[in-house]
Amino acid sequence: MIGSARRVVKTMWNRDPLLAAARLALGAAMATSAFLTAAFVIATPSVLIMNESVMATLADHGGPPETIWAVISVIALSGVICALGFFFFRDLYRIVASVEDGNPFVPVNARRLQAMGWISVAVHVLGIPLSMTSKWLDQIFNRPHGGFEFSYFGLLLALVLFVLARVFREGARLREEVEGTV
Amino acid sequence: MAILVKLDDLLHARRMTLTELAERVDITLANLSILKTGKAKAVRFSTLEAICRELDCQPGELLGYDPSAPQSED
Repeated sequence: MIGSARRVVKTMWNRDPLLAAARLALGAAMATSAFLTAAFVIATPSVLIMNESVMATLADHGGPPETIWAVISVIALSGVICALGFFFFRDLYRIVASVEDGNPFVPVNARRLQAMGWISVAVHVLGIPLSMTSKWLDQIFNRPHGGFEFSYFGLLLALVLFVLARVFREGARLREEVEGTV
Repeated sequence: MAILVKLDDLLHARRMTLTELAERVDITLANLSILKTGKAKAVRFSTLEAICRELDCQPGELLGYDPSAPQSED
């Protein structure tokens, strides 16, 4: 099993080291985001179930009772963002795989890029309440704020992805035209 | 498609096979087959030129138009 996986990686690496590295990095990113999503999915109901002990711990650190809802919302929002991150990396992984197969200009890649653009927008929209809530929690517990910050770079990324989706759609159309040309 | 490709008739008249023509015009048999069966969406002038050269014909002899046939989608 491990031997065959090594052979697959070696073959990928010999074909195109850049794409092979991208696939490996994206595979790792997918695994990490899936793991984090699972952790947040487990943590959200766990905090609800153990609300009394969590509230006691929060009270020990000077947090009012309503902080538990802030903690739950931070965990739940983080889970949603990680899940979205998983789908983002999965789509990118599939695009890289299609480049490796020599067939990137297909309509499905245009749809993937568009989905990635919407994911990027969604992550930034969800990041606003997440940032505000974690900032509020940090103020209550007198901690330096180190949470998610709104960035224009993310929205620029979404814009680039939407434009790239158009480019791929046009590329797919041109390719289809060329394929029927003798 | 309303455009008719009369490659089969020309080949028959010249007693030439599609494989032979493919070798002479340096176009794959698969592509010539697409052209012959009327499945091609477009024909390059270079392809047309090579076929006309080898079959000693005019483009008009190779292509025809049938207004009663269903129109292509694009």
